[in-house]
Amino acid sequence: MKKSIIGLLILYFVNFLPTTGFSQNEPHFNLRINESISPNLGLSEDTVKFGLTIEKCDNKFLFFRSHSYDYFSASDSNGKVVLSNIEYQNGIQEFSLSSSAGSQNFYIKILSSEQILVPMIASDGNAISHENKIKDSFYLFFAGIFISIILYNLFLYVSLGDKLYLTYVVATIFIGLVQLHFGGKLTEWFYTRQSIFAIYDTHILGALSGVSTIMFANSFLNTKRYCNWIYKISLFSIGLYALSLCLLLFSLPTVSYQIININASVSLLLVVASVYSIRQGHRQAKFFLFAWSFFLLGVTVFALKDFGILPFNAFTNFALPVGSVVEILLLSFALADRINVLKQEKELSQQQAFAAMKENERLVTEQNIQLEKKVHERTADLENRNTELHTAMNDLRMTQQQLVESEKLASIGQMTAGIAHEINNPINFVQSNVGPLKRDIDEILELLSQLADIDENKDLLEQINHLKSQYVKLDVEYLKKEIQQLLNGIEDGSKRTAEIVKGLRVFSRMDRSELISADINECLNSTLVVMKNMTKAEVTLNVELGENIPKTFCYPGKLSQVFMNLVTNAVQATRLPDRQPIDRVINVRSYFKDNKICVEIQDNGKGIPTEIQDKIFEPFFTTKDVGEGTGLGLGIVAGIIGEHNGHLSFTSSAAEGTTFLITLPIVN
Amino acid sequence: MIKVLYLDDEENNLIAFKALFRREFDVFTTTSPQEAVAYLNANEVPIILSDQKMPELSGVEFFELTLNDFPNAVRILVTGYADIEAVIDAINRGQVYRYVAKPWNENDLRVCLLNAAERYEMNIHSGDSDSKTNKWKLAKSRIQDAIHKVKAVVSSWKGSSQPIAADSLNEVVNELNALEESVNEVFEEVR
Repeated sequence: MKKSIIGLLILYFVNFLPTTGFSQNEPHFNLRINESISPNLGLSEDTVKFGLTIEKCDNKFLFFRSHSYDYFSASDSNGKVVLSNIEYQNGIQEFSLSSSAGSQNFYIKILSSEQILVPMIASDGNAISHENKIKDSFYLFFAGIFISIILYNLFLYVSLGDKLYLTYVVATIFIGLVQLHFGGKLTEWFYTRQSIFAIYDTHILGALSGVSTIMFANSFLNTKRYCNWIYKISLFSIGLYALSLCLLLFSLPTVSYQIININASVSLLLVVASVYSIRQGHRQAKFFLFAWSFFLLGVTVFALKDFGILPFNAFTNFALPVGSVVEILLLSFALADRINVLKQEKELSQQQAFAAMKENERLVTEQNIQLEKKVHERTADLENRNTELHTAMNDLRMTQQQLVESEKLASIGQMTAGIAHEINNPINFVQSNVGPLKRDIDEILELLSQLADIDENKDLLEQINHLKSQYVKLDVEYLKKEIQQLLNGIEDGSKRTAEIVKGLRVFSRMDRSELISADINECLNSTLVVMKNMTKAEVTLNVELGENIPKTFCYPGKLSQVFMNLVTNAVQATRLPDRQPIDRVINVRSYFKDNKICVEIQDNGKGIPTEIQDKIFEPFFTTKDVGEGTGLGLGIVAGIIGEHNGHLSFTSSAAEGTTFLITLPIVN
Repeated sequence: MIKVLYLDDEENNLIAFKALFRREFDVFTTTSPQEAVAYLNANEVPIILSDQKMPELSGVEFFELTLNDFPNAVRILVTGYADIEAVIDAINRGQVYRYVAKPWNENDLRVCLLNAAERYEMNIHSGDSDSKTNKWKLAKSRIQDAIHKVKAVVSSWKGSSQPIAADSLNEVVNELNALEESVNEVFEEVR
């Protein structure tokens, strides 16, 4: 049945040229009963005013389906308001047409910051209320689905802690609110059209739903990873949404609305992003692609209806909310599937962890075996080393003993050589004095015997004269002197020999291990006597032995070795090429102080260089040439002084030479 | 009487020496090197004896000191036991004619002094070496020198615990060669 045309829409524009190509006073739309027309008047900052001519109406109502105008009023040709703005804002969107057969003219004024669509239908009152009822129940149903999905995903978020669910919940809330807004249910259920929020609700909800959707899509598709350029664009888009909201603050709602509309094209990019994600193996992106396609399909249908390409009917009217319902359901499934994926991933990772653990265990066992082997090897190695070290140590100990022994022998050898030399002098003159002495005495005895042989019967005077001449010839005065000298020499020589032999006795006790009470001065003296050979022609030796030094228990032989070592060193230190023996001075002093015996051996030699001063007691440290010294001398000295609980110290400088000081406690 | 100077820091040795030889030689003894030099400057002294080990300077040093001024004097070194190496060195360098070890043997010392006196004669008359007596004397002196040096080296071997050095062995061989040469010369002369 072909519906008859009941009206003609004629547009009158005030200060406004529509963007959609209308021209002045041109009929464009034929109005039929029960059939929706939806002229699109584009955007306008000013109030749009247009006329409407209706013929042959039969008690029908003219119903304006849009509920989002900021201002709406309708008046008839007489200027009588048939539907005031106040009534409209209170939810009344229709007025009755009179039943007269003649044509009626109406003038409509609309102000809106959005795209001005004027969907209207001429129908009877029952049909309109019926349609409203259907619409109400649809939106209730719609809201129910949304709420349940929101609650479900909220629950998932709480239990899984995955932020993706929260993003999804937020996006779903805004998508739902936008749909309710388009259905006019927000103003019907939550706030009046007079409230400030109602003026900008399209902008705010549009922007927020856009932002939340982009955010959700970004994290769901992982665009940052799979398709970075889209991710960047989407971030820019979010910026634009923020800008559009700011523009509202500056009362530029129209610009804001245009930005939001342009921004909506990013939704196409999300399709591209999902395709990228699928290609790169992101399984759930398929769900997204499906869901998003459905939504876009809904948008397309809705838009086509708005542009009048598709008729305004129940299907086209509900295409957008239905599309969004399908979308959120599919995404919900995807998110549910995600749980499976997560579970699988978890199981996989658990398996991997288990495998890794097993591998670790195997490695640890293997390493343990190897380690044990190595430990065994090391232990054997160490035992070997230990044995070697033991052997080496024994060798060393023996060598050390030998060295100490040889050092001792060296000092004994030095001493015997000195003694031999020293003893040679007295023996020499004792021995050679005997001959001349004998001769002198013989001569005197001869003279005496001649005296005895004086014959009293012969000429006495002649005999006496002969004797006298013999006497003069003998030079008895000289003989007397000589005999005296020779005897003195013998006495002196034998004394010195005895003294040297006494000194020798000290050295014969070198090895004695028992302590004996001895006089340190005696000990020093005998050492110096046997060393005379070394000191005599080399240095000027000043000896200053203190009185009242008590005897002490000590090892005199060992102390002699100490004195000999130190004096030998002193002699060698003063042996400088530019010095005469008279300028090489060694002072040996002994004294008793603070209940201790002190022996000082001081030389004016070249001193001990500072850098080796802490080394001189180390065994084998020597500045002498190979073969000249063992490097043990001072070590042995320190050892011997240590045995006596004494103390050995020295001061040394290149300018003043070296002084060694020995202090020994008195032991009774 | 031939003048003999003896320098020693040990007075008793001087006394003993003088007592021994004052009858045969004109003995001058002193403990002071300065005094000894003064005596040398004042007198013509054919034989100089000196102890090696002295505080102010050693015997070898003293000989070195006087070598230039009194080249003809015959020098005899008197030593103790320990410094035999230094002495041999000095003999080899020609500064010392003989060495005498303490304690000395009276007769050896006398022979040594007599030889020294002969040597001094030779030193003085070395210019007129053509005379037959001089030739004989020279040969005799050379033979004595060689024997003395060999003796000195060998006795140093006795005194030392060290192994015999190749140098001293060579020395002995050289001396023996010189000895052989001199003996051959004497034989030529006799023939």
